[in-house]
Amino acid sequence: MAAFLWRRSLSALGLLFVVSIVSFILIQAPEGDFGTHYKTFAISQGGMTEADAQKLADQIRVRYGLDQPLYLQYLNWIGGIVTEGDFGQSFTYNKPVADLIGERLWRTLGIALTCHLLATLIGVSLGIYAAVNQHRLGDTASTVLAFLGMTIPRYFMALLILYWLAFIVGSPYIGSLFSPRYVLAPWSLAKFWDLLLHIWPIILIATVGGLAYNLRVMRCNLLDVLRQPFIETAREGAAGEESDPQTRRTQRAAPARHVSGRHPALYADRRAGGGDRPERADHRPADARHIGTPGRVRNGDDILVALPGADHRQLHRRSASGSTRSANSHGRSGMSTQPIADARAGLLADDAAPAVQTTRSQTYLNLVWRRFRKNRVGMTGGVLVALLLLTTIFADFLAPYDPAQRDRDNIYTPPANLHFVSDEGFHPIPFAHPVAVTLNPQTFELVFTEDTGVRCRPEFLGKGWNCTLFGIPMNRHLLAASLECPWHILGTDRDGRDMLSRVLIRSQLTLIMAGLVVAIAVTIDTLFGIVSGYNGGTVDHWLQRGVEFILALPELPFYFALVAIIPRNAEPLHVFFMLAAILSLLKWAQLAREVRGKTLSISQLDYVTAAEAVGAGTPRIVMRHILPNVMSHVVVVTTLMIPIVVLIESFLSFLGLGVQPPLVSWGMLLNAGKDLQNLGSYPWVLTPVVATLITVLSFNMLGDGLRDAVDPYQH
Amino acid sequence: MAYINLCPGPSHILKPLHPTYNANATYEAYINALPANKLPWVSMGPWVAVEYKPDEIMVFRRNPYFWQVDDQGNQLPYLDEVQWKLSSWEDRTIQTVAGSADYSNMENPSIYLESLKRAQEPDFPNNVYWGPRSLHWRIDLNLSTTCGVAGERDAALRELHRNKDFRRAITQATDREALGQSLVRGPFAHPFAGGLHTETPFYKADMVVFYPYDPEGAETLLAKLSFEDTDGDGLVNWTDGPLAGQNLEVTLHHTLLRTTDVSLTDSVVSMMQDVGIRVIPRPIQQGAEVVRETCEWDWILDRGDNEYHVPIANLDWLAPLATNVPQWHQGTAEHPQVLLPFEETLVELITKIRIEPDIETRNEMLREYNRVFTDNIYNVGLITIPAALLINKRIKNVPPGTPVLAYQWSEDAVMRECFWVAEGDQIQELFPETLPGIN
Repeated sequence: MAAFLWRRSLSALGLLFVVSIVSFILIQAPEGDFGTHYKTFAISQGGMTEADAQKLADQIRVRYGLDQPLYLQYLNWIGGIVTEGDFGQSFTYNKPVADLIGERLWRTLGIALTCHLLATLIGVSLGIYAAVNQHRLGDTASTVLAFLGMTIPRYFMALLILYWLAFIVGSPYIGSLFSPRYVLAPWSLAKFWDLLLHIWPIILIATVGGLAYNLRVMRCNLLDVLRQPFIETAREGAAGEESDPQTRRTQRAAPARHVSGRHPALYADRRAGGGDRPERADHRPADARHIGTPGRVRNGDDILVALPGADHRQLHRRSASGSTRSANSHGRSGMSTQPIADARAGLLADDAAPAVQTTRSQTYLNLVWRRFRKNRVGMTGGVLVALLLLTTIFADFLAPYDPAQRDRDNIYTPPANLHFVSDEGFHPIPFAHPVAVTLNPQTFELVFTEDTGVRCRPEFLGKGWNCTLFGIPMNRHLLAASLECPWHILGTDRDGRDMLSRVLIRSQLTLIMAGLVVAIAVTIDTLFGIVSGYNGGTVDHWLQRGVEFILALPELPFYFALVAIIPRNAEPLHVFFMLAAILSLLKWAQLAREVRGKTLSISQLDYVTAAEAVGAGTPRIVMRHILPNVMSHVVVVTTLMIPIVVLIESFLSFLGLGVQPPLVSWGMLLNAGKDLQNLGSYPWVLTPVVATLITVLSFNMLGDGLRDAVDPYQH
Repeated sequence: MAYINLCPGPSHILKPLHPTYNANATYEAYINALPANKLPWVSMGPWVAVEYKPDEIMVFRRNPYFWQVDDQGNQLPYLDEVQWKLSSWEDRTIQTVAGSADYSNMENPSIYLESLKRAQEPDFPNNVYWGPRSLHWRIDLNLSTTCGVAGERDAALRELHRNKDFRRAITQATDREALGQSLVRGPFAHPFAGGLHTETPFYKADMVVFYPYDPEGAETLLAKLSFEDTDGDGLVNWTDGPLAGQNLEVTLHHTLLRTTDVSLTDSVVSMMQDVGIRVIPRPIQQGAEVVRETCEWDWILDRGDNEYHVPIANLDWLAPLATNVPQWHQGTAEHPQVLLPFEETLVELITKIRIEPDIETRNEMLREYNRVFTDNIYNVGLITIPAALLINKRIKNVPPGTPVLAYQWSEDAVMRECFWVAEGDQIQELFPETLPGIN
């Protein structure tokens, strides 16, 4: 143990060293140094000649050691930190950086810990509740909460709360940590209460995001565990214990019979994807006689593990003594009815045996699909995702207006009221009335009045704006509307651009970014996670150090540094791909660690040992036994990662570091929330929030359904 | 707070610390001779800082030695204590609207409507005093050929900026009405041609050249300059020179400190795209001056200061009278600006204005300056808007109509020394009955 701790401490030190080098390089990455800044300042503000300014800059460099080679600068920097805790001097505050960090460290830690504890406590509790009550109201409610928590960008939540506090409530507790009277006062209950009054929005926002993640992961993992045979066995045993003493004896024996008698086959069948058709015989262990050794079996001690995933050929029995036997028999191919009959003869020696029914063996995907299609939530998610993808692909055709077309006469027009019925009868394509805008003379609020004398209706498959679909230029649109007679069903933005068209078209970039990042990240992390977890040893050690390094990277400064080194006139498309690459690079590590954990636990299981014993190669074990078992986790994390990428992209756009115009993503559209008047006066420009919500919801529902479908223990 | 009245300066304190008067002192030491955490601060202002917590609060107590008196001979200031909550520019206004601060210049158009709605409610804590349209936004095109030219791209672009037809194309591609309404709907924003502000004595409608929105005209001007879309991507291409074949691309720096600048940039990018110019936004975390000083930029979208509202106070900013002005045409000490012909006219005019004693003649000359400026589109004006003073109702002696920006920002214009609060309305002092540095 001591050696292990020593080794890990050493590697942590190594990691810190590497992180410090990378941080130093990031600091140095932008062009120029403090001397350059000083020189520019001296020339522009001091009217100094270039030669004099250069001399001054050189003096500055000597004073701060910036004239030394980089490695010496690094050594000075790190030397000061390690030996004296000296991080240097802040020019802004004219104070040592260490003091500044020290002043803020406890507050930051306090807030972070509070949020973390709350998020863990509430998230885990709700996750347990949701898992235990799967598909019930509580589960749905907490899932919706989780979706909302994960979907709504935190800065957007912050803006909403800020708007509410400032312009609706008129709260005096905004914009700082304390009221003036408590800033300088010693700690007291009153000061603590004052802090809470100021800080609750921060805690709420940070907690909701973390809570949502914990809830989802807890629910997912607990569902995995709850479906494990030993839990089922325990449950059945518990049920028996609760029954009357007369029947208890019989029921206590039930688990043993389940495992060793007739039920293992059915059990295996159900767990392996047979759904609710226990009469199916094709997954029954052919050599079940070897499994079924009746004996004294305690609850949970004698466990039948039915392999999920691609290969259902192995059934393992872990006895109380730990011995393992493997029955590599039932499979999708090459199975004759004779062994089954043997099995029946051996296992179902009584006349309770059902009639043998032979059907064609199902592939793994078939089994997953069979289960998936029965999951209404999953199917709804699947349909929504399919619709979303179709909408995205045909966005140009569906958009009634050119999303970039400005209209100075329709700035901030609210969503049109659609009319299907008029005195002329029913209109399959609804019409809208143009809107005239006047101002309230007191507040200058906009007053919108419909001009009911005019009806605006788009033309079905009419000619409209020029676009390309699959590279083919076209100007026909499903519903082509004109600017002269506006038909903005989701309203317009600050430049009079049609919100519906913008949301439709901008979905493309968002989904491409999310798809790209998730595809790259999930592939890398699954690969690395499995390789690391299964191989162990040196490979695992170094891969894990790599993972730790990525996790330790300071994300935000990293983005800032990268933006600083982007050339002045870089192509927006290049910036887009660079962002995707950076996000992929930074996002794979967490999942890799989780996959590694899962792989580690799976690779210790008997059936893997058995597979190794019968000479199965590593690729086969990985592909057939490990990958299918980690897939449920990967699927869930993938669905979680899509909204995370959308949100990060939007946050980077919020900071001005994300996708650049003329490329526009939902993230950029979400930034309309920064303009506080949009929250109060023009809420329809926040439609992208709804679009993001629907997207995230769809992917999550699909992910949930898939998770359940690939889950080997799912009922 | 930092404005004129609070500047430190008593020589008996500062002299012993300065190398000129003390052989043992150094300039290095002089920089930090009076650090911010050495309280109370040395000041001749009406209040003296007695407590300072970075990023949170500064507490000022009344200076018992302040030299000003009111018209009755009572010593100023009236307020015993002033608390400064340290915050960001935009946040201070939101805090004031919410009631957690007492005073702010409301100069962010995107919260005008929301604040006015809130102001209709009886419990709204503030008075709102609107001033003239003293704020403007504009785009500066870098005209310098001697400063910050990094290569042939920069050189070609700067030469292009110096061509009046190009500047006219840009100004005609800009829909100022739409820009104003996109920032805040209603009567607030007006189109701005550049130059001196409209609501000043130096403005005369017939002495301003305004190029209206005309994207077709802008395209014609670009074609005249030999730009055409040779590759059919919707953007015009250079057809000769070192950049031949490339799209016409420029970078536009803007600050992220104000949401207005981000919104305006977004709209300008779209407007320029319409005439075939690709504008690449370059957001800056700090103020735009950080980039401006480097001279290494193409276009900057920024808010103007008071030099175009009160030109008399800032004449040296209005023409290339030195190497660092105007902000969009800088030179260096070795390589001063290469002036355009109309710039020489501007220099002549400002030089005359500097020594002109007659106010009306001077104003007429400033109008002429404005005509030359706007005729030649020295920079591309966008919009001009009014700003409002928000001040808590319990604070009295606020001159109504005090402009947020004129000779100075309103903090100095309102004469804070004369603020007065009735006894029943006073809030709790943090250091009651104390004098700075004494007890």
